[in-house]
Amino acid sequence: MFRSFKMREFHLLLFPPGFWLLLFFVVPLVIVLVYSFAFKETYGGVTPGFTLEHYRAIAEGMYLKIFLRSFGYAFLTTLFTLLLAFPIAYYMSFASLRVKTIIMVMIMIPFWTNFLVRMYALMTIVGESGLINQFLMGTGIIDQPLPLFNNTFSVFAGFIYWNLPFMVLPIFSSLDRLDTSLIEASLDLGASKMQTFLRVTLPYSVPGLIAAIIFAFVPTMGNFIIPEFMGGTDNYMIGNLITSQFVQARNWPFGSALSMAMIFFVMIFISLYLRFYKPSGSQSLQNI
Amino acid sequence: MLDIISLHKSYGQNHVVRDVNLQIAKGEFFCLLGPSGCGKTTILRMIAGFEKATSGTIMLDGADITHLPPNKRDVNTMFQNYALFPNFNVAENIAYGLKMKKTPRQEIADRVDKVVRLAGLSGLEERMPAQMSGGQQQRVALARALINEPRVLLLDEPLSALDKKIAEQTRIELAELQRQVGITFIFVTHNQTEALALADRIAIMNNGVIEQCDTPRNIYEHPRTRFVADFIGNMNMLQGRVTSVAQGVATVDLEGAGQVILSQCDKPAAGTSVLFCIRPERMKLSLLEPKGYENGLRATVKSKLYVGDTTHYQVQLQCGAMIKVIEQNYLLQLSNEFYDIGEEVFINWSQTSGELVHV
Repeated sequence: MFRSFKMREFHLLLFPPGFWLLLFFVVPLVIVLVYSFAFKETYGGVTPGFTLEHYRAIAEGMYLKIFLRSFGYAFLTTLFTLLLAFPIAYYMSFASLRVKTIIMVMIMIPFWTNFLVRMYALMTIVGESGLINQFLMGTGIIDQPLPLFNNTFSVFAGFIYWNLPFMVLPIFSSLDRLDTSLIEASLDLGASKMQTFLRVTLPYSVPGLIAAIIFAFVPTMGNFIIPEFMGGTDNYMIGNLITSQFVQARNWPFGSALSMAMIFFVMIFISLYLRFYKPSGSQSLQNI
Repeated sequence: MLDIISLHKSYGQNHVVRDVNLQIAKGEFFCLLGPSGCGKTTILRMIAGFEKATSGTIMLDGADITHLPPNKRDVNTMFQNYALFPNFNVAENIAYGLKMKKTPRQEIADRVDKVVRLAGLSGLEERMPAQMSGGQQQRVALARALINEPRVLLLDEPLSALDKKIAEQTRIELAELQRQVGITFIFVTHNQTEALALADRIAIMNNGVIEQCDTPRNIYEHPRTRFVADFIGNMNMLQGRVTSVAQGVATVDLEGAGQVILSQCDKPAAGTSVLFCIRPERMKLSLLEPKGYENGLRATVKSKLYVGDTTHYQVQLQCGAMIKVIEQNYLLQLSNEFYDIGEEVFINWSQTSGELVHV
């Protein structure tokens, strides 16, 4: 029925979002790109020009270390969150509608809650006089509070807590669409539950897994609030470095170069990932 | 071979299958037929192991399989939606069962080859399920189940997803295939034509109970319950009371419509309330009074429908009941007997026709 409309009329629909994207996404990105090649003035000003100095500076030991740390944190956060999220999503997809709804609400409530509130709430649990330490000391298991806060542990706790809904939802949505008759067919043909999981269930959750991994990895890599709130001096990440270049050091060109480097790095990672999973991924996407 | 003994399934207060007893012989083509929600699919799923029986026993070749998981039963299922693995090609789909049983590679290749030819899928081994027509997918599903040489093959509405022409063609192939492989087939359908055409025996189900289990001919010719009489084919049903039974000849007084005689009938005792059932194609319209070996009732033609091979008449008895009569058009042409709406006629039929069903 849409044939009767002229395609040209549909193009009109693209103007408002296109204009928005151009003004608030493309233009700023180009500005950042231009700045990253520009010269820095002494008092925080920027002089147009072309230099690769800022990019060279990234490769210096200290900054490279922060870069690698961010990658490591993002990688491990993704892995740990996945190990928690997959069982939840798997359980949900086979649960009754009632149980499904309850779990979904439990996942969505923190999702809708203000991020800072959630981080403060987490502090009251892992903090020095938080619930965990109070409990362990109250029961006499330890007599000194455990160092659970302002260190790597609390940063990971924050990241995992923050990422969990982003991973559960896409995995759940692909598992939930899995036709149960495929699982029954596999069992019927003599496969054990484990074989069925590995050959049927897991391959069909690949599209959801890819989405979940990207949703967790990319924002974690660039996050600066959680290391700021939950971390100590050893948990400085690339996001913190970029923020400090713009806010404190007033070195906008270097901050821009760091931003571009991070975008580039994440894009390499995502494109490798998508290419690597393309065969089974696109298949499953087609058939789900 | 497959014995089902007082099988029962309920979800809470909802009794889906009630006290079902069945004995299915080796090599039999057995059909569970009934309207949707009658419990036929639940029985199939209990045999496959996807549903747990609430009570009762399922025995396969003398062994109790009631509580075995699906992968430990020598039973395979062909699913209604075929449930082909979309990320495997045809050959991989078919080989799945053998692979799971760690069959040697060469043997898998040989057996896949054989089954592919049997199912008429040669040359399609590399296709993905999404690239195939419904009929082809149906064959893959069948081949994937048959390659494991199960003792029983369960088919859940195997032809319902196909369009009519292909379903009719596939029906013939399915019957032929079953004869060739000699595996016991149990199939579930709501399509009575399919059931009558394919099955050696049919169990007709309604509300979780088996109403009648018999050969297609007996089901059609001698329905035992009102439900079966009504469910299978077209049937005229009239309330009546047996007035006398002598030497296999029963006289039935139809309420307000007159008397009919049934020879070859010794089931009901005199005085019983019965439902007199007769198929529309067993009756004919005539201007002549019934002959000595016939029953006849006066009626008025109310409507007539020409449908090509036959003409369907609706006629009204003097008591007001409507009766359907189906006449072969070629016979009508031979005798030049066409009746118009409003015409007064006799409906006549042989005293050997008709059935009595207890009410």
